[in-house]
Formats: sequence, structure tokens, C-alpha cells
Amino acid sequence: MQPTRRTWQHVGLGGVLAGVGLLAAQPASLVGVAGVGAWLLSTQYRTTHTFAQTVDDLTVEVDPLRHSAVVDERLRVTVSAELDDPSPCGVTLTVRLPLTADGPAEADRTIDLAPGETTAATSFTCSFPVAGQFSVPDVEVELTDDGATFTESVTVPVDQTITVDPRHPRNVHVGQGGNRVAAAYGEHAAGSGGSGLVPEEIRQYTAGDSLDNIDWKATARQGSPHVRDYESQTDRKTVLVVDQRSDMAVGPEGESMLDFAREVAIGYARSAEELDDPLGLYLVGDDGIAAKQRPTTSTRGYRRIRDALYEASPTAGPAAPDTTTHLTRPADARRVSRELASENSAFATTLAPFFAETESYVHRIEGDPLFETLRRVQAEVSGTVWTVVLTSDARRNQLRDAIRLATKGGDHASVFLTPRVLYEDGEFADLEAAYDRYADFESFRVSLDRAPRTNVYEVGPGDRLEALLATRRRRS
Amino acid sequence: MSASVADFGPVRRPRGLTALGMVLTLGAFTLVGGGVGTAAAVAVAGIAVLTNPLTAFVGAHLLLFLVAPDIAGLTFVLVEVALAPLLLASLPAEARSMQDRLLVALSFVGLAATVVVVRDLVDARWGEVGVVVGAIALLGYGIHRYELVRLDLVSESDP
Repeated sequence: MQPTRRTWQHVGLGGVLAGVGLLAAQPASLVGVAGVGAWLLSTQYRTTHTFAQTVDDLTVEVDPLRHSAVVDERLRVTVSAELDDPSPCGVTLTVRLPLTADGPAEADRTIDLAPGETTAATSFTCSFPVAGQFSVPDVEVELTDDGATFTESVTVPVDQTITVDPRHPRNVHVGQGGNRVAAAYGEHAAGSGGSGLVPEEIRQYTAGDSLDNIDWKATARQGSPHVRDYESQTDRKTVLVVDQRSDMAVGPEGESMLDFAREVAIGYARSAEELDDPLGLYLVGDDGIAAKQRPTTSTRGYRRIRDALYEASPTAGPAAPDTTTHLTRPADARRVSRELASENSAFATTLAPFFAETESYVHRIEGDPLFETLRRVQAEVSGTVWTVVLTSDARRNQLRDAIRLATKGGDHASVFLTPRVLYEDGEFADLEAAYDRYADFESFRVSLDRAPRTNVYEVGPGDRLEALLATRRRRS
Repeated sequence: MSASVADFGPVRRPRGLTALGMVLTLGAFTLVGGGVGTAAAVAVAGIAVLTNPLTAFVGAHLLLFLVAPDIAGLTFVLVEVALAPLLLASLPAEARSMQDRLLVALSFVGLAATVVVVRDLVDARWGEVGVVVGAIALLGYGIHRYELVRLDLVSESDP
């Protein structure tokens, strides 16, 4: 209990009386001191009871709208205070936030219950810049008695915990034409069976390794225990080709095209590890292959693939134009060349030389990083290869040719496309136009899906896709 | 750190009790001090109006030293009874009237009795003052500890 300045003034007056009593031997002064003391003690005792009764009657609720959020997401918190009976005390409640939280100034997190009032409430928003689990600290309650002579601060516990998750894609939709597919990957026939164990690498012994795997020759050479890792061999190898070019940066932080593609790729990696499938990874950047792991079945290999996927971020490079009308395929170039040849305008005359050597276009497409990467996969990975390509729909014609290359020789390919229209920032300003773009993407997906040994899926935020599909339902 | 008076609004006090205290003070001071006593009583009333009844109560005891330096016995008791309403009026008007004011009155009687007893037992002047002030401080500390326990503010490590 802290005395206010008003109380100290009265105590000072009592001190003056005591001084006079000391100097003048006046009983009246000492009785005056007794009077001030009586006032002080009785006020203190009365205030103690009032404060205790008020705290007993007080119910404080701090109620976050949700108990989970993602990093930097605004979270509304409602605070209410209720007294069973009116109190002569003034009550001020201040909600404290976890140290890491960003919230409004203290004044905006404070509610006052004036003497006689029984309820008060307020609300505010806060956010958490880091992920984790946070307990809401106790609410600080400051009490002031009706005579403004004493104040006291107590805390009221708040049993609230807020879990803050890092930003990552949620509601990941993987499907075809708006329909989810239950499993685009998973258990599959093992083919003609494995051919035993193939040594993969020698590494230093670590606790938990089987003694059977110790390579005694290597141990003798190195002077410390070494083990030999093996990988099992099956016929079909799965190669993940993940596009991390600058096109894949479209979308909010943590929910970009690459983030969604990463979720699917990690799902593939886990599934392959469970099934002991050989899994490889090629990351495609703007300037070529950003990371590579040849198909492996070792635990360390799977871990390296997962780590590479988690670390993947869009590479710097010029944004790809919308290429739906660009002439990047030889067939298109030949068609335009024929059209220009039939015209006599200056425009046609100027452009005709650029389309004359239509065959040279093949060299240009060879410069496409995705195409080059798939060509490298073909060259480096022997046997039956199941190529899983995760990319955007930005470079459609190059993609078509790249997939054709991936399925050459009887191999299969699964293509996961992130339609740009589902990732662009903000709400759909024009829902109809957005649906038209999605429909255009869907027709492209279907045309790609018709290719032999090719399955093409869309990957995107399910809620945004649902909004577009609702437009289709309205139209029909 | 103590709060500023400016942080709080004006405290409503019982005006009837204050007025009664001023009237009784006027009568008692006039009785024991004549014209000077009347003037002192007017000054006490002024203090009560301008500040608060407790300050007026303190002021009355200081002025009593000028009005009747040798006051003692039954006259002194009567003067203190006349000043008592000012002390009782020092509680806020919202206080639980009878119970709280009775507490103040009993505390006053108890401490005043202590003064009388101490004067008989202790010869030294500073000893009288010390015992009275010490008794108030001790009781105040006891209530403070009681408050800490009552509000569950005592940690287990506290003595």
C-alpha cells in the first residue's frame, strides 16, 4: 500500500504538531498528533478492507479472438472487468503483453472502473514478430481508495496462451480443375524389385550406428571408426525438379508460389523416404541449376534434399512476362512466318527476317533453365525416371517442351503448376477477370495433361481457388 | 513512489459534520480564550473551508497553544470533544459512516489515552513524543503487513 502525496501532507502536519509538543511541552499538541494518527490508522485499516473486498469481487477476462496466429498477424484481444458489487475504490487495469509482442501504447491497453461502476471493457490488436508459444502476463490492477490517500497494485493471473506459428502455406490445394486429388504421390508398385544394397559413401561412426556397418578397412586407414552407408536400389527413381526462379516469388510472404511448391515437394520427399524410393532433387534458378542431389535412398540423402527444399528461395532475375501470346515455340514461329509472307506491309517486311530461321529457335529454348535442367536429368539419371516438376505457369511454351523432353523414352512426369492468378497480392479486385485468367490456366493445364505419361496438377491456396470457383457457379 | 494529488479528483466530505465541528470549535475557543479564542476559531473555520477538516483539526491544536497555553483537565477534554467532529469529518462522505467514524473515534481515544499514560510514566519530553509516534508507526506497520497477507502479496521468501 503506497501513501499518496495527500497522505504525506497530513503526516507532515502531524510531524509539525509533534515538533511543537517536543519544544513546548504542550499536551494539546500530542493529543493532536494522536488525532492525526487515529485518522491515518483507521484510514489505512479501512482501505485495506476495501481493497481486499474489491479484489475478491473483481473478475478479469483477457480473451484473444484466437489462440493461434502466424507471425506478424494482427490479433484482436478483448479485455473485460466486472465487479460483483460496486466498489468505492477506483480500479485501473492494465493488460501487459508478452515481451516479444508488438501492441498499442499502455493507455490503449488500460481500462478504468470508476467508483460505483461494475463493468468496463476494451479491445486492442497486437502482433508477434517471432514464432513461439507465449503466455499472456498477469493483468496489473491498481486500486485507489475513495479518499485518495492510498494506492495499491496487485496482479490478476490470466490463463491464456497464444501460439504463434511461422508463416507457411495453409490450406494447400492440390488438384485438377478445382477438384482436390487425395494423393498425387504415395505408395506405388515397386516394379521388378531391387537388386540388393549398393554402397553409397563412407563416413565417420556416430552414436547409434549399427556395428554391422563398420567398414574395418576404412577404420584402419583413418584411425577412427568409420561406417559404410548403403542405399537400396529399385527400378524407378523419382526426381524432383523445383523451379525457384524469380517468377516463383509471387505471393504474400510465406505464401508465395515457391512456398506452396515447396510444401508439395517436401510431401514427396517424406513419402519417398517412407517407401525407400530413390529420390533426387534439382533446383532451377534463373541462371541454371541452383542445387542438385542425385537420386538416393540414404537417410542423409533424404535429409539433404529436405534441407535444400527448406532453404530454397526465389533467385534474382528479370520477371517473366506473360508468355501466353509469345512466340517461343517453333510451330508458332513458322505460323507467323507464313502470315508475314502473305503480307506486303512495311511491318511484315521488317519482321520477316526474324522469323526466317525458325529452326534456330530450338537453340534458344535450350537456354531455358528448366529445359536445360530436365535435359541434365535425362543425361545424369539412368533407368526409369519419374520426373516431378514444380513450377509456375509463367513460361507456358517452354514448359510444354520441357515436359515433352522429360517424358521422352517412356518416362513419366507429374507436373505441379502454381497459377499466378491465385497468388497475386490482395483480394481479387475483379473476380470475373480473375476467373477468366484461371480458366485460361485450366485450359493450358488440360492441354498439358493430355500429353502421354503426363499428369498435371494445380497447386495453390484453397480459399482463393474456392472464391474463383464460386464465380463459375454463379455464371452457370 | 507516491501518487500526485493532482491524479485524484476532489474528495467529497460530510459538510454537516464539518459545520458542526466549526460551530463547536467557535464555542469552545471563545469559552477558553475570549476574543482571541473567537478569532482563532474563525481561522480554524477558514482552514476547514479552504483545505480540509483534518488540516483544520491540526491548525486548531496549534492555535490552542496560543489561545490557552495552560489548558488542562476537564476544560481540555471539552475542547477536544468540540474538535472531534473535525477529525470525524476528515473521512470521505462515501465512507461507511457509523462504522468507520466509530473506528476513528476509538483510535483517537486510545491514542489520547496513551498520551495521558505516557505523560505520567515518562519524564523526558522527547520520550513522550517518541512513544506516541512510535505507537502510531508500529500499528501502521502491523496494518501494512496485514494488508500484504490479505491481498496475497507476500511471497514465500519474505520473512
